[in-house]
Amino acid sequence: MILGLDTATEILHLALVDRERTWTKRVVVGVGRSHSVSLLPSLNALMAEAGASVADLTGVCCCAGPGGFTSIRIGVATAEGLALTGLPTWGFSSFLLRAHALEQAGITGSFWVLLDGQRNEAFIQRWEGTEATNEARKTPLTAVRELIGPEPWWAPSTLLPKLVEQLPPPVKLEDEGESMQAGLVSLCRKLPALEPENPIQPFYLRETDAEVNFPEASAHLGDALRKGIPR
Amino acid sequence: MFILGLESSCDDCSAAVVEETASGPVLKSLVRRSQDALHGPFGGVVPELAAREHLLQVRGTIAEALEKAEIPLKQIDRIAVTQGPGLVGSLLTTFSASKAMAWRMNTPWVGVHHLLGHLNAARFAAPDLPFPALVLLVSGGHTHLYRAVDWTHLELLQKTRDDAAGEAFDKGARMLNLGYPGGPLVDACSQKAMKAAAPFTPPKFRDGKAAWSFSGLKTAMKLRIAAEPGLDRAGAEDPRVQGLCRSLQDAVSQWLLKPIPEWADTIGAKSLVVSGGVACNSKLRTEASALAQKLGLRLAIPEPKFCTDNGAMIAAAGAMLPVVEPPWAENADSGLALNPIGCPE
Repeated sequence: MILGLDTATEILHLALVDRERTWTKRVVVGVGRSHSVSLLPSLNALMAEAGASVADLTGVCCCAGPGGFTSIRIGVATAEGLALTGLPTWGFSSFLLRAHALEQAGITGSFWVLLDGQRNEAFIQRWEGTEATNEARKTPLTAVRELIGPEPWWAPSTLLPKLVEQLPPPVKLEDEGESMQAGLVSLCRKLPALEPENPIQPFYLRETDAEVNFPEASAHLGDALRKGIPR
Repeated sequence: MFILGLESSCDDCSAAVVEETASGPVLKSLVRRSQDALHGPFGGVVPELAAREHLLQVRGTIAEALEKAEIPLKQIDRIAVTQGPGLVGSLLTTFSASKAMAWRMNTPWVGVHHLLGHLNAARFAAPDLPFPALVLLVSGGHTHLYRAVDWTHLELLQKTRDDAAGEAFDKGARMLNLGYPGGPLVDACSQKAMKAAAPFTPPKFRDGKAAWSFSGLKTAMKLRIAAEPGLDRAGAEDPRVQGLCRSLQDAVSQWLLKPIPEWADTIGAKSLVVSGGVACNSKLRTEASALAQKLGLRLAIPEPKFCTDNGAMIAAAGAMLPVVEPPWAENADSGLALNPIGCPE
């Protein structure tokens, strides 16, 4: 049984996938509240629903970002802890989760995925189904229109108000929460065919303020400590 | 009982396996992955970078501690982790990982106050310490004096009015371009000095109390360095730099110990504990030893590897505290108060 875990936003997504059977949970933790408080109790509830014990788990798929720095940390550190109990782990990006969610909702072709990068910026990547066609990047919200042109795009409902006035109508998911859970289930089925990741290397996409303000002092920093490892 | 202790409250990612025996804690393994080289160029700890590095190190650090102890996770009887205070992003790495491990292995779990960890670092060498104890916890972030009636209870007596003592070492070393962290560099430099420079003037307080203040010491260092052109670039081999480091170290050591006699008398102390990163300082260790002997106090200064932040002290403290019942909805807390966890009022 594979555990899927996504804490990159203020919404916690959990999935348990055991061959054809799946159980999912979506918990709105809320801005300023911590996944640290809700993660294990929510996981216990989902395990109970599945009638599963901790011994039934065989691996963990965890979202590595981009998203909230602290949120990502709680999820990835939880996966790292589970790895120490003998479970293989796989990381996936917040973009890949959305691409799978859109695929599960029957949306085909190419589209841009936009995520909230905070500070009036968007994290953005172009996809053909579940294959990325360019490097993920961050861009000012005001520059999104020029970047994506007339192509289809999707953004989470929480980001839409900042974009709808400047862009053509977005691709819509009938039930965003349900699609995210379906996307997570889809990843839990596919990723375990790949080589496990040890350790999971987060993908922040945003550098630290220290790197911006003190570039000379940052010369020794590797990629993993700058924007993280792109996926 | 085997305890896995985890600590990542600031810039050291550490894990240790400790066996709690009838005669006190016994260290089985201790792994500490320092971030000094990462933060050095910035002249101090960058919280977000510290947290990112911890997350990359947490799996390897814990695995290495278990491997070195030759004790698999399934034989661990308790997991203890620093819950706070500290940098929240850093805390959350070992904190989240520890809860996940305990959840899957069904291992008893406990969150530990960082300062109780520093107190319990003294338990490795002095498990039979007589109480009440005067506890001087001194590091780059703390300069606090407590009364302890046992290993799980600290009552604040006084603290610095501004900077921590370790800050004076860090900034002093930075002004002299010696590197980071400052404590060991100033110590090494001062030990080479043929003689000390002129002593620093201790701060005086209107209420006449033997209080602590170290911010003025930084200003005094700055003025001394400015008065001698080129001193800031002279380097650790320059006799003037060595003399100034010795004066700085003498001042910090003497000032820290000044309030001890009066407080020892006030609380009827039977022992003196000096712990935290600055407790590694050779001058402070020597002076504290002489003072404890003079006052008739049993002295407990942990060996240096237990003074700086480490998982062993958290394991030692975790052994003395009641475990927390699942589902462990606890959160790491950057400003964690001393009394709510593990410290009965």
